[in-house]
Amino acid sequence: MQRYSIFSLARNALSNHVNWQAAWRNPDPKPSYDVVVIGGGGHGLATAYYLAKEHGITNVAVLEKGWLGGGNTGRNTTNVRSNYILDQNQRFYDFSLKLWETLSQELNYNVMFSQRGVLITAHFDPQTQALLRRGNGMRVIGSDAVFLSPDEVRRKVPNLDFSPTARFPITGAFLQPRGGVARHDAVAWGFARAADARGVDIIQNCEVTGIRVEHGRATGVQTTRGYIAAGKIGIAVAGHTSRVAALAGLRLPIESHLLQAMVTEPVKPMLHVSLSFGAGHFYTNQTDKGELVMGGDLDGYNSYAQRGNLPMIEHVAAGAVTVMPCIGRLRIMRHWAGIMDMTMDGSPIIARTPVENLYINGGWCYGGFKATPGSGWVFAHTIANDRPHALNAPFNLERFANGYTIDERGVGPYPALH
Amino acid sequence: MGPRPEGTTAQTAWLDFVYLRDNPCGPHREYWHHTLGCESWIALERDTLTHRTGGSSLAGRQDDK
Repeated sequence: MQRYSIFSLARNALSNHVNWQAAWRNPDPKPSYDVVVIGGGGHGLATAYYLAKEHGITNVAVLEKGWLGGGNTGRNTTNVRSNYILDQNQRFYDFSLKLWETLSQELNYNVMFSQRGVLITAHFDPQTQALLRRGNGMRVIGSDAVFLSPDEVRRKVPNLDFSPTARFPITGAFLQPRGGVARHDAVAWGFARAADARGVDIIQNCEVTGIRVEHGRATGVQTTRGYIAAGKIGIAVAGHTSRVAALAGLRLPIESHLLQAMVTEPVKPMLHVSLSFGAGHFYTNQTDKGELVMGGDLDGYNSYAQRGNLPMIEHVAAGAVTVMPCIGRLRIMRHWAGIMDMTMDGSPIIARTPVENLYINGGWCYGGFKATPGSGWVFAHTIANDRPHALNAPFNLERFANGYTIDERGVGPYPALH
Repeated sequence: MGPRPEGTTAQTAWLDFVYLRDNPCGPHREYWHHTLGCESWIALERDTLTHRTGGSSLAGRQDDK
């Protein structure tokens, strides 16, 4: 791998940038691999990288039906945080956040991780109590959380509605200073380049159409580029986990829903945190280009369409102008949707399956992006050792049968509500 | 979602009913509640890939299978 540095940049500038290597090879699939990872998004690529780096398993292929990071990796609103209250969630996401903190150096690829803080506005007493409780839960396991007074919020985010007539007066805010945002495409590209450098074959335009199961054991995948035998198979295709798992005869506690996001025209720097409106469905951050990227809640009906409907856009915009009236005249440039694997308890599945040698990493609901490095790390561990790491042991498939669901919101088996 | 498993306490039957989903990509039959109107439950055919809707009927009637 050609390392990126100030010196390589200078050297290539002197030769008019015609000598840069491709970031990864474009190999044809081999007839067999030790591990086949289905899905070339952030999670699949991170899994392949950590299989090679942490476990020395380099005879690995990542199969992607389209192009790298073309699914949810390129569709999210790029937030990275670990502000959960349930132990299992908080420990896992905080581990992932720690990996984020050194990821650019680890991959020799700038993922533009910016720890600008993730802030949730508080407006009511019960909500404030709930946020304080959540923050205490985070601090108990060694993570960071602070509660800001209205004055402190005002200094940090002066563009919110602090007027005496505000519909939802801001009474404080919950901040995780280590949270932030990252460049989502760079995460896929960085993991792809680093995995490729360790010998992983990244095969794009290769859709898996079948999983061969013999005597309860997965042995290979049928693809649009022929049959590929595999010692072990990992599925990392969140959004479509139900469909790919069905190829091996599995039925999952997952329903696919759509989540919309949109982006305004670019403006000068005006928002220096990743902001969530605590009294409605609206969250936003300002990209390095100056656009405000924003999202809200699920449309509410199951869907694979990758596009949503106008009522939710209006709902998000209403939240936006309520808490941040100054952006009311900005124009929306683009809008899109991603397919969310919504599980029945709102927590992911990173686990072995009833089929031997077949592993699932999915059910990310709308929180998958921030988990990318942690998810790849524990999934690689699970595949390599045929047993989960302590961090992902709770995220097994059996929890639904035996009553150990991890229901952060406490709403029960209603996927659209998580 | 299949029918409610009456008369059994088998874990697999209830796991299937409460948690597991077919999650189809394509034609789908589902129920909508006309909450702010007549409060009827309506069975609707809808394609989850295209969002195209098909026939509908009042839930629980003979033609709602």
